[in-house]
Amino acid sequence: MNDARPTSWLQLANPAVFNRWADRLLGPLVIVTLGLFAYGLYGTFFLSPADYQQGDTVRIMYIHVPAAWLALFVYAGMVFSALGTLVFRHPMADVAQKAAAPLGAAFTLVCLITGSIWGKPTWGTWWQWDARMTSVLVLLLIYLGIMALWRAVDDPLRAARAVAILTLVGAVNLPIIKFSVDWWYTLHQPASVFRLDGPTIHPSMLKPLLIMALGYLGLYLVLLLVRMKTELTLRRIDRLQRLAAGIPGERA
Amino acid sequence: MNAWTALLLRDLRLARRVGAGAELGLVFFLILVSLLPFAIGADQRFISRIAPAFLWLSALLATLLGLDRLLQADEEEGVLDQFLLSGTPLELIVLAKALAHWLVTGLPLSLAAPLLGLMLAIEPQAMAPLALSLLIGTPALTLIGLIGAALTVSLKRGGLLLSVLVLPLTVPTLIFGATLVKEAALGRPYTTPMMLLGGMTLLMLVIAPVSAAAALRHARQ
Amino acid sequence: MIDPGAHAGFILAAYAATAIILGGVILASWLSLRAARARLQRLEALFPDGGKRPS
Repeated sequence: MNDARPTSWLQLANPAVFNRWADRLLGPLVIVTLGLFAYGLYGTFFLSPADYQQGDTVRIMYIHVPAAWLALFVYAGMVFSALGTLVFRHPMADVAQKAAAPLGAAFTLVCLITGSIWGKPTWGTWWQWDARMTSVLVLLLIYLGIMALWRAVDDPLRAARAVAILTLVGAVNLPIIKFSVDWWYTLHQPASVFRLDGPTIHPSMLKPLLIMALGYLGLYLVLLLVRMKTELTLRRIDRLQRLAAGIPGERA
Repeated sequence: MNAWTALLLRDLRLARRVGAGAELGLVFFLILVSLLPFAIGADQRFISRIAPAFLWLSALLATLLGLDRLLQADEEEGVLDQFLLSGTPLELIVLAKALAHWLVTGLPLSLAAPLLGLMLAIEPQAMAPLALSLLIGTPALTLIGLIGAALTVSLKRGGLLLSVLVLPLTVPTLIFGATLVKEAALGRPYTTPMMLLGGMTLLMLVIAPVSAAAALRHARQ
Repeated sequence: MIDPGAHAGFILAAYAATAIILGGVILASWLSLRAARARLQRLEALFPDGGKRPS
């Protein structure tokens, strides 16, 4: 049994094979993630300097910017899964997609909340209708819509396909939304614009930022595997219950 | 008369018979507009400033009306199957449904909007651009709604979910449309938002029928 | 080095909010996996053949 190596993605379609690989990966992944967070947080508070303009509030960047990156990364992964569901009918694709959506929403929420807390000392308000915050807010709404559609449709296979189509439609629209919001913002530009991104970021800040981003990525992968295992277990429970209820034509 | 025109005419006739035709959507639009002063006060200058934005938001909400039953009734009664049997591609069938929906909501709304703009003291030079922006933009709203209607076709109470799915996707259309009217009201050129708005509608004309048809096919498997 | 300046409260709040949200997701994911596993074990006891291979 232990010699089963997934030589192709198709073999990972077997839940048992997937579970075995997930279990093998989870332990090391948790350790790496913890290490990254420990080093990243140490770098954030002790190694990186305070910004000459913003002072120490710049330390919020190290949890805010990686959350924004992950919010987009998770969506990209969901687009990939959506293609897997619709084109290749890969059985694990919709499991991955269902597991990913709430995680993407969580990272988006972290991005918004830390951005808002960062905004108070920097802009003077908790919420500024600035282009990036607004785009992220729309992204959160799309995530919430996807999660709502998952809950609304009972049959998991149908739900998976409907969500996959919605994910792809969202993927086509997201760049347009981003463009339109940027365009809208340039028309209403307030007097002082605060910019952090761009090449101005100092290397001493970049390193902890990248390590925190890797930590976020590790956390995402761990949670994704755990949630996929949960979903597979729930589906097996469902099958066994049907079997126990004596519904004909069902195999365990 | 081919199946496509037959479906379109049938939908228009149905809309008129069940009273969900143009008049009711317009009444809804009128009610929204008359509620605005009650909410914000009778200050003409303030009303005039927010009128373009408010008219566009009202149009957006009015377009959502009836979307949840747009495909559902036909799906339940097997009408879609009949039209499929005629050899018409599903993409064209849903396009006909969307066109019928737009003819009884978006089109009358666009034509009536200048009158309501008058009530909201909109700048005179913005009247024609208001109607123009709605004429160009409301098809995009209906088409985005079509995708939501197809995704929620099997749900008994899909109305609220449909709005949640559809509204975030209407952000660009709303931005371009409302900006067009606002720029016109300020006496500035509005070619750029008009082009962008037209682009949105053309893009949705491609995306919406394809994704709605795909969603319907998967829902019936 | 950190200098607990005027904005220490904001920094703390941002990190606390992140910890609460991500911690909540971690806890929820872990608990639901545990609950699902417990349910599966109880159910599999009903099948003496130990649960055949998943189809």
